[in-house]
Amino acid sequence: MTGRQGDCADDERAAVRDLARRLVADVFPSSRARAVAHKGGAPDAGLDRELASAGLLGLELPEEYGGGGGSFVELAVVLEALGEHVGASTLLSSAVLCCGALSLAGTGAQRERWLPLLAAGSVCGTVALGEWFSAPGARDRVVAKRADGAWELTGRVGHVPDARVSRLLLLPARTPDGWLVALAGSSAAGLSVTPQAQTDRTRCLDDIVLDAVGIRDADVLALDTPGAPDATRLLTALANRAAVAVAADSVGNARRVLGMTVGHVRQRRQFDRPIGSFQAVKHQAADMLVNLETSAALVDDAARALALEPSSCDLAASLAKDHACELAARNAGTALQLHGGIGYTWEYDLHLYFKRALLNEFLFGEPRWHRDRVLRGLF
Amino acid sequence: MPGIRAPQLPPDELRAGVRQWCAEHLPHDWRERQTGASHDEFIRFQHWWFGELRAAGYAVPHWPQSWGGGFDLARQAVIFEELARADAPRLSLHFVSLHHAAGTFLDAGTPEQRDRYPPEILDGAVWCQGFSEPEAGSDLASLRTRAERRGDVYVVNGQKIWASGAADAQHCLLLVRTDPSAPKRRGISYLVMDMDSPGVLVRPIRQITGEEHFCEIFLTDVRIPVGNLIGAENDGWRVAQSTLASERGGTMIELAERLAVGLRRLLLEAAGPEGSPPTADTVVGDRLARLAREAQALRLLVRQVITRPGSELAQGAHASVVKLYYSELLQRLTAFGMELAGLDGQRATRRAPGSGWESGAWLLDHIGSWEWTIPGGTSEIQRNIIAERALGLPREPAA
Repeated sequence: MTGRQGDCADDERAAVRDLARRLVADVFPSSRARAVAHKGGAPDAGLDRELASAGLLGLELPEEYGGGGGSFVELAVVLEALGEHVGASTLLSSAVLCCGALSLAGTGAQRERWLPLLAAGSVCGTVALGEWFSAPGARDRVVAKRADGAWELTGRVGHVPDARVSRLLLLPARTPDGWLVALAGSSAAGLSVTPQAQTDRTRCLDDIVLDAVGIRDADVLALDTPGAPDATRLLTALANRAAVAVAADSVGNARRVLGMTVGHVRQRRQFDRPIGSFQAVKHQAADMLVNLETSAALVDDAARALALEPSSCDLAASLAKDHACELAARNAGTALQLHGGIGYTWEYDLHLYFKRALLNEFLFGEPRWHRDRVLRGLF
Repeated sequence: MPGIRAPQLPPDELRAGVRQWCAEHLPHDWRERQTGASHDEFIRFQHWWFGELRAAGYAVPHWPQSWGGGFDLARQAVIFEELARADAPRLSLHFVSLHHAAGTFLDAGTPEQRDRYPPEILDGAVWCQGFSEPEAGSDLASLRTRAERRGDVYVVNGQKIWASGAADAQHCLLLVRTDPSAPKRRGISYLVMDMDSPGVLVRPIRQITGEEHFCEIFLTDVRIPVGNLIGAENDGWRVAQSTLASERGGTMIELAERLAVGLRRLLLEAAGPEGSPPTADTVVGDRLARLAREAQALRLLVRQVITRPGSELAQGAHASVVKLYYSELLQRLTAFGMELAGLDGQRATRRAPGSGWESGAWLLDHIGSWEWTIPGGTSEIQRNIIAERALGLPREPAA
């Protein structure tokens, strides 16, 4: 557990942060977030287009694929900026998960075919990680069977981000030797996607059902064989990316929620003075800031660790995920309290943030899952 | 060669050197020997350990090179980390000398003061701090100890309290009021007082833990030469801010590392048979995982404050965030240690002076954790500072 020093210059990061904040604020005002919520969470195509044309969807990819040659550290900064606006983009599903998987494990042919399309935003992809994070015996289970010189996938997996708009699906499945990660088109025979509405209506999480979906060997991204757990390594790395991405979203969420709260308590008057001058209010606001700063420090550290070695930063990733997501949810609750009645209305934006923060706490590994991993990492 | 002062050594080599030096020089049984030691034995032990560190070049890594330090922040962190991990004794007797006094002279000392005092500190001179007063706790600026200038001396009358280690100190960093008619913060001056001056009476205060570390200082017509003024007359408040800032620099690295060592101690105590981890489904596992993430957040936060002081937080609020978080985390961690120890942990016990606040005598450690949430600005004051300086919230209106 050692703090890492910058493999990415601070000023570069600040530039990306400024760009992303301005872009998201311009393109995705809260009216757009409300429109997304109204339509049940499908990502905002306009926001994705703008992110793509600013080079942010392919930020982490090498330039040969139309990317920006950055690292996960910069990507995390963009995720945080999106979190500040409850942004409904495919950045998480497509850039973090799908591009991440292809970059880490794809063959030359797979990368050349898909990465430029993903970076340009003309194709969206996702990874069905649900089973990876679920408890043993849970409903999610996909099994891969060898039949006629190919693989056949059967089962179901839930909570797949942006599946309904993804043309490219990466599907983990269990084999007798461990895991396999397969690449499938959304129109593959036997594959169906069912949209699932969330209480947080700004996120799109869907179920996928697989009924003997055929996968050619050329479409296998990674496969565990005895002594070579390539797919497990890949899934570990993707799980870490997903966890830190959600943690970064929560940091952005907490930053914005604190800003809203400070604005409110400075202006709202009761008993002939701004409520922000009461210590009982100030002290809660100060705690919100401490929660935010500690979260940001852990997420920054985890993002750097991921950029260096994505499959061996489990501890840093889980520490960041658990801390940032829990405290963002707590901060949003405190914000609700400090806003009083107005915060409890549908018209005011705070509920969008509160629900997003609550979902983030459970998405890509429930608190127990990450705390178990922390304990294993410490002993 | 371990123990040879080499501020330019690559950090990894420095780390290996400090580690080896600790293995060779740190008495493995110092805790046992110090537990229950007399006051004189404690003082002797602190001087001896300071001498060892000085000889190795590790006593003052945070000082400028011309004063015998010269390690950059990354290397200071390495030294403080390794000392904490080796469970080395804290330099509690020398703490004010090494941090507050040195930091003050670096910031505001005259050339004569800078030439004289740092070498004395390296030779073992002990300093204390005369800031707090009985009716000026966290409202430090309302101090009333009076200094009247008569020719070449200030004549000082008043009372100080909570002065750590004053009974063993040779010098005192003293805040006095030199202009009673000026607004609270503008009429304060900063003096160096020799503790053997006539009119200085020190009385140790027995604390809640049974230790006698804090002292009262009674000042009756104490004559202090005008040359002992640090900074300009009536500008003492500003100088005092730099004194307080000096304890929030590198030393926080050491405290964060010691807290991480305390967490490791808890992990060992909570481990199942053959050192197996508890699961997150148990209260113990859940609490440990939370403490682990908080301890790591503290370590990262401290580094961030030191290496990136200009980030998004307003100046002055960083230190409050760290102090608030450290002190309350210390309270949570020691409370959990006490819980693990159970009723047996309530038996009377002692801990070695010079231990950190995570000695493993959890009940005393927990009681001792209030030494952090009360002094140096209570948690309530820190929250006010954060809310007003970092978040721009309005001040509480005057009654």
